Amino acid sequence: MYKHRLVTIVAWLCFAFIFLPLILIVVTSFNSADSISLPLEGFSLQWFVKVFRSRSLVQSLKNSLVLALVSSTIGIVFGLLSSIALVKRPGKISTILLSIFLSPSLIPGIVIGYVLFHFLVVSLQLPLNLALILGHLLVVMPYSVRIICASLKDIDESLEEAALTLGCPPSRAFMKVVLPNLRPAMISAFMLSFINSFNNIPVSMYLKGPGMNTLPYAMMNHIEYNYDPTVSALSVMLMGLTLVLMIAMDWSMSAQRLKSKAAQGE
Amino acid sequence: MKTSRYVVLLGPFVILAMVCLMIPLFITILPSFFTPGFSFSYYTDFFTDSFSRNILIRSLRLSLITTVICIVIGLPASYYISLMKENRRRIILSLILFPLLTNAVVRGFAWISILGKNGLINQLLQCLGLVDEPVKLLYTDFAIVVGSVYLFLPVMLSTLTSVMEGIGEDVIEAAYSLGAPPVATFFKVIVPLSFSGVLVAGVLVFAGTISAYTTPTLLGGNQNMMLATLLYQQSNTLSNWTNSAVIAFIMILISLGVMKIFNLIAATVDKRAEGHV
Repeated sequence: MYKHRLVTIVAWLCFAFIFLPLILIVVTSFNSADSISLPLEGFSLQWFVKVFRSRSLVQSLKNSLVLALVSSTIGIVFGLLSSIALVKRPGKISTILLSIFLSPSLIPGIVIGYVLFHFLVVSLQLPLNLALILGHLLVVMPYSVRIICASLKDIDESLEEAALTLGCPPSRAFMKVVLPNLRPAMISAFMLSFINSFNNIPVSMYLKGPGMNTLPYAMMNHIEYNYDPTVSALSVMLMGLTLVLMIAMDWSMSAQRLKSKAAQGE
Repeated sequence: MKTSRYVVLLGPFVILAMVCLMIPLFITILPSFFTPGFSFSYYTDFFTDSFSRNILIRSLRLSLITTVICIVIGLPASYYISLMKENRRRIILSLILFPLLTNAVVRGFAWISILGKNGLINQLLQCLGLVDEPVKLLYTDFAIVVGSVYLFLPVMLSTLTSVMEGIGEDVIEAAYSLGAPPVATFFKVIVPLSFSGVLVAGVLVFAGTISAYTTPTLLGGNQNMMLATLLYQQSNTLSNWTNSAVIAFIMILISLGVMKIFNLIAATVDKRAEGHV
């Protein structure tokens, strides 16, 4: 009612710009032609088969999954510990530490990759897999701290105090009262950490080595030498993974919302 | 909380931040100020060398163009989304979030297949008989801008939409019932009220574009380098530690500088807003 026709046109062009390239990838991954081209020739799953035949892609996919899993898991545990300290004892030191924990998202990724490579690999000569895990922990640190801190601040402190007054020991009060309320935040922190670690290029690129490649970088190499829909097929699988993670995140949040509504008797 | 417990809880991430961020940054960047005595000569070299200066200027220019394009497209598109019905709005917002969570390589690859020599646009142009030879679209500044806009438009849209949702229909209705045509409503009411969102998202887009590595590598090629690609070339291919440190420090300065400018503008805007009340 309040919009000019031009607004509608720009908006739809914008949606087309955002979604058409991704749709193009999905469509051509099922096309039998051996280059990305239209019109379509015929349905085929050969590019998906080819992904699993490529040893470098499969190996780097495994590496990336393990790396993302390990760094996000450690990340949310450390993130939880730090958030408790930062929220329960606010002050100047906590403010400074918080901005340090969030800084890896402000500093360009390629700079982080380079200084890590220079210090951990060249100066300290750490093994690459350890350097990779440390680097990815640094990548996920801002996400876990930011999300868990925000949620911890929102939790009504009187709940924990009630448990303590009723004679619950502090550790048990935390496990039984605070932790369950933090679950949705921990899940979103994990998912975001996972996605960011899995998609990271600049840090992994510097810390890779023989047999230690990650998927995004292996894909970049693949594109450089082969121009066929194998990468489309792999991209479709990655989009599927992203979709599953998004739905899982949404589901865990709404499940929690339903529960808290039920608890409030709504 | 007892100090001992505070230290233990914070220990892991403090050690990580020190060993993997603060100390490496310090040790890597410090030597770029010594030749061997303290001097800025590596930095003056960087700025006087036309090759590296051009890359710096290109990075700044392309990031600025990308930011402006994202704002120009983002304002009307977010306005459109913010006027949608609740259910449709939520669906479109999660759809917009989706490319944001997709790998940058995947998104770059999509544009390679569109802009490439045998890409869709060239196939189409040749099919229609408009050109005989394929047009060079890939490995140009244009391709970098398209890819960067594609990368960061979702950020702009989600930020602006959440700001515009807060404007409220009564404000728009007021403008409308006082006789403002839709165009005037958009430029005199919606755009000024979304200024804070434009600022936040603009900083994210600019800082993101200027520090991106994947997109300029895939779409710009070797000829059209940006700061991030130059840093990788200097450090990994040429192992030139001092040059790399110079570039790294300049990139950090730009990122922090953009944040600082943003905070200053935000502070003056806040003051002006207070003055009006």
